[in-house]
Amino acid sequence: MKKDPNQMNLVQKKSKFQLIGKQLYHYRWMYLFLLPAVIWYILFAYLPIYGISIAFKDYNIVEGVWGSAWVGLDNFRKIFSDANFARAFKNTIFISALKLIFVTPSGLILALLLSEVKNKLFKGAVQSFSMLTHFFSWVIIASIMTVMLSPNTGVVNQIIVMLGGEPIYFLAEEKWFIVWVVLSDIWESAGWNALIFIAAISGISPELYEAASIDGAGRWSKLFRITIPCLSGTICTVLILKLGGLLSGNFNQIFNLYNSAVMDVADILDTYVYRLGINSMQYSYSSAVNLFQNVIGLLLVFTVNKIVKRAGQEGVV
Amino acid sequence: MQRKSKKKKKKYTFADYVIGFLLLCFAISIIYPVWYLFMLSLSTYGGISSSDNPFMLTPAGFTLTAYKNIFSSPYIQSGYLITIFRTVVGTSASIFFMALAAYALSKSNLPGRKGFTMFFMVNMFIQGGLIPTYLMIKELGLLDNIWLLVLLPLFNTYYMIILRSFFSTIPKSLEEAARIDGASEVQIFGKVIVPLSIPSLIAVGTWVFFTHWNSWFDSQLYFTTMKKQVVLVQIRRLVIEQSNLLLTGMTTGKANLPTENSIQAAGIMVTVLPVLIIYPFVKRFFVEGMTLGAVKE
Amino acid sequence: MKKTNERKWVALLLCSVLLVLTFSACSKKNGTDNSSDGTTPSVEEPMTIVWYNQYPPYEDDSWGEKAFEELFGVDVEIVRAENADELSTLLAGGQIPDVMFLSTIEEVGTYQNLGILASLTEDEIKENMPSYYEMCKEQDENFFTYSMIDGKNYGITKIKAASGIAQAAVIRADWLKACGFDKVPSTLEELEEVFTAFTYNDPDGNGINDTYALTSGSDKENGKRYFSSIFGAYGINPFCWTVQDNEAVFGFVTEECKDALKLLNSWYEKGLIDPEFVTDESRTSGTDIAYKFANGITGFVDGFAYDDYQWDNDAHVNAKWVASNESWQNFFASNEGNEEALYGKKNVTDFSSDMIDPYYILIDQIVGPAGENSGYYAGSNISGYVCFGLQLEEDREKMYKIMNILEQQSTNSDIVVNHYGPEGYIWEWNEDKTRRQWIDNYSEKENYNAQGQAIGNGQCLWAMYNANADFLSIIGGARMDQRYEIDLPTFSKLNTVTDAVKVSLKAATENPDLIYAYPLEYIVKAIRGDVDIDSTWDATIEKWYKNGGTQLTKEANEWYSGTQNK
Repeated sequence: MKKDPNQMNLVQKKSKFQLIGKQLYHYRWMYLFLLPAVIWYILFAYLPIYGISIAFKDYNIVEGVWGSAWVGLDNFRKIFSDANFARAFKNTIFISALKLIFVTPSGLILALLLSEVKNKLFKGAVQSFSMLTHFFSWVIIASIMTVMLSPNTGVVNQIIVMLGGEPIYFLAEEKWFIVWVVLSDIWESAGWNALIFIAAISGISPELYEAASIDGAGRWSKLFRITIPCLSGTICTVLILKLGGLLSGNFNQIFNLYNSAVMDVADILDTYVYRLGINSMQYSYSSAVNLFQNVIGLLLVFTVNKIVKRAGQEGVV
Repeated sequence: MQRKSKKKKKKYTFADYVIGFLLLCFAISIIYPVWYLFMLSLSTYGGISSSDNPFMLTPAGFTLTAYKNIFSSPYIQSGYLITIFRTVVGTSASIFFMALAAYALSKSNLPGRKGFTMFFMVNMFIQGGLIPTYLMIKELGLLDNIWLLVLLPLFNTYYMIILRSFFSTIPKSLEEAARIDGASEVQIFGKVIVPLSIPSLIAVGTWVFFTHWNSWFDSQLYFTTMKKQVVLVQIRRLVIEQSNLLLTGMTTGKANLPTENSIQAAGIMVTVLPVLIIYPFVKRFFVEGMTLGAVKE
Repeated sequence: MKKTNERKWVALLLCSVLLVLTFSACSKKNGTDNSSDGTTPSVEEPMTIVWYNQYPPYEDDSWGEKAFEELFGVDVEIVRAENADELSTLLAGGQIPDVMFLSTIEEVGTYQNLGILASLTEDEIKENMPSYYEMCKEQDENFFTYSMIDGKNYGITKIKAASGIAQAAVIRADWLKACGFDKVPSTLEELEEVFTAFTYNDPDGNGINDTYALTSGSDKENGKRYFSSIFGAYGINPFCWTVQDNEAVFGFVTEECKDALKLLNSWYEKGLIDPEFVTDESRTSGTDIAYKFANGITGFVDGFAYDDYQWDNDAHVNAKWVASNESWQNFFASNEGNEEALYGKKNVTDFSSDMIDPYYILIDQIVGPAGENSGYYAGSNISGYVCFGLQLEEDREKMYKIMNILEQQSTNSDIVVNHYGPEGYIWEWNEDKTRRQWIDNYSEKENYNAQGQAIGNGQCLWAMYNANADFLSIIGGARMDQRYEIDLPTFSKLNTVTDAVKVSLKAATENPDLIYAYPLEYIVKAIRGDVDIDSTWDATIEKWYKNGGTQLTKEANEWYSGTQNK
């Protein structure tokens, strides 16, 4: 018997559709669960997305986003031709990289340290205190730091002098400034970042540790053989997502801490754009920089995600 | 871990002391500035300028003026109410809806899973900006509507992905077992997934909770009625207002007034203290609520 | 059991989805009535004016708003925005106010650039605000050209009465005495000698080497006051335009600036300048430069204005100075109620036995290389700009009405006084009803608000309160007399350095770093010796010109030559 190849395809297709239909029906609840999120993202995230176009326009309030004249890549050209852009770009990457290396792990380290504490009261108290810092805006943190790091009267320098050292003007020396940017960020965010790792650690089955104890494993070997491997998924997710912010520094932190003496290392893209853009409401210009930062961030995330997946870990997408 | 600590109770090794010491140092680095701010909020200008007490372990001079002025503002009460409302309702709603979506995304065989993830992820990086969002909210008629404070921060891709990664570590066998027992998808979510994820839901919930408490810009931008502004907006305003007043007072030769910094410090204290009191209750309520919902049948 | 539970979940989910959908559906109905596009109202209805100014009253229908509406026969709708970000978002939402009070010329440039300002002519101002126009013209022939952009006028410049006065420097008399000086220094050389003694001869006598001569706040707030008395001795201000050989030059790029920097750098190297000047704040913090001066960390301070509440404690002594010195507090306590005695003292320009120890001395002039032209920085006579929303381009009737309101606010004392609220709020008539005076301790009253936001007095609606010199001390008494009759004459005699360019320059709008952040960065580094001035100066200036300074200077000169030809 001769079979019409088309017909056979049709049959196959039909069954494929049926299969998909079945699948969709099987997961109907999941789609219902996703529905509110999808609606929300459409309303609050994707409908306003046309606003990106002002990066390619000369934004005029009266004409609105739609009506403003297109200027192509002019805004981008202006950014890259600016003398101080290169400096800000370099500083942003440098500071973000330092933070990625030191600040992100600080949350993990805090969580690991806390998990080793046997006294429940002490553990709870330290964890609660570590969250406190998140209530302080950077305006306040900066003003506390200025007082405490003052070369004449600051606590830190008084201790240095007591120990026989020379006072250091931390906030006006380029190297020390960067050190304090990192330290203050750890101070501010370690408790916050630790939350997720604490949750992950408490999700590890106690039997694993008990089995290891029976095998005679010490603290370190338990840490490296059980805790870290169990956390690797969470660590990867956090790292990948943080990497997306490589070009967007912490505006509030730098803006409140920096001063004219350290601009060569402290001026990041966000502060730079703030002075040029928001200050004088150059919306097109600042959206262009923003778009630039974010597209790079998105590319970074997807690239690293691929690498991570190839290495056998679960990625974010 | 807990079982372990019970077993080895009271037997502290050298390593325990090292860990304890490190954490203690970290805690002091936080407590000291907080204490400093607290003392500062009670200090007076005259006290600060005449004292030789750079460490500020006790207040320099003493006044409650800063606190008195903040609490005598007619808007502070409504501010706290709005903030508590948005924090409690907003956090619950946020966790509920994000957990649902995250759970769906954690199903590795869900058709379109990757597409949905991308749909949410891209938004982390590509946003329309302040003005189009404002226009959208205006179109929706949500300006000056307190539900906006719940609705606008309802979803956060970062948190959703974190939750998803937690859900996906839950062994499939548990779900299968429940399914064999005849549980529906909804029941599996409520009875298996949620109870097993309480630590992560609490972690994300805490993030959302604190973010709600600390938010002020959305309130300031989208609200025009003074009585509907959150407490942080009121406190920020009062700090500026009181600093202005200070100058008027100082010109009449008074030294027992707080300084600008003291007023600012008092502003932080009245932001932090309520949350320290409320948070444990909310947390317990949260835990109980979720476990209860999960156990109830 | 199972089914009901499931249904509950579905219901919950659907409800929330519906909630979102209804919100969006409702909006279509509510959304339409929000537009305020300034259409002309019918003749019967009072005209509605959408009004934007800083420090709006907190609530609608405040006392101030009602008084305003009754006085001028209009409806006023106040736009509440606290910062530029918020305002521009409101603007983008289609709410362009009919009238906007802007404080800096950069803002006028920005808004014009965004295309939301209506233009007007000088003749229109003359016609609708005749006495205001006269008053301003008398003081400054070019006054109404300062809000011009590209040959068109985009606002009414708001005049500030008794302005353009030097912001002087003061020095501690007790330190001078302690170091054995019996003459107030008046040249840079003498200052350096005094400063060295202040730093190394233990002027406070505590046996510890913990004093410096001077500092300045490197924050944006300080702006043009930055070490302004020292730059002023060279006849320039690094952030102001100056005229050299009949051409406008930016202060930062002048040779004088370079010389001043070298001097400041040498002072820094000698340890005279508090190294903390990099992070010092100019005002409004517990550790600002006023605090340092009052607490014996520094002995010299500049940027000292005759009418600045924070600095002068009504002109004769700084508020923080009083709070730091018991003798002054005793003076205030023992004279309480006796206004004449409290506010009878004046700024001394030499040692005086009339003052209470410790006190400080106003230095008449710091003579530097500029010789006779050495002077202190002085702000301009402009206190802001009244700009109109684009929609008034077509609605001249409303624009003229607003002008008329402002005219009355600057010429009629009964209207000006509304700035201070109703009688009995913070002021009252004296016994024979000849003069208004402050109520004792008014600032401690419950509904008192320094900016008038509680009841709607204050500058938001009563914007012209400081335009007319006749009404500066409309609420009278010894304090006002001290400020305007004792101290103002002393200060107005001082030599000044002012900004020669008063208009908005396009190049500065596009690159604001050029006129502030870029110069300041170099200045701080030069003073600290992080860069060697001689070897880096030329390159720095060249870079400034290359990055937009050339265009900026061109625009400045176009305007400047325009004013010269008039």
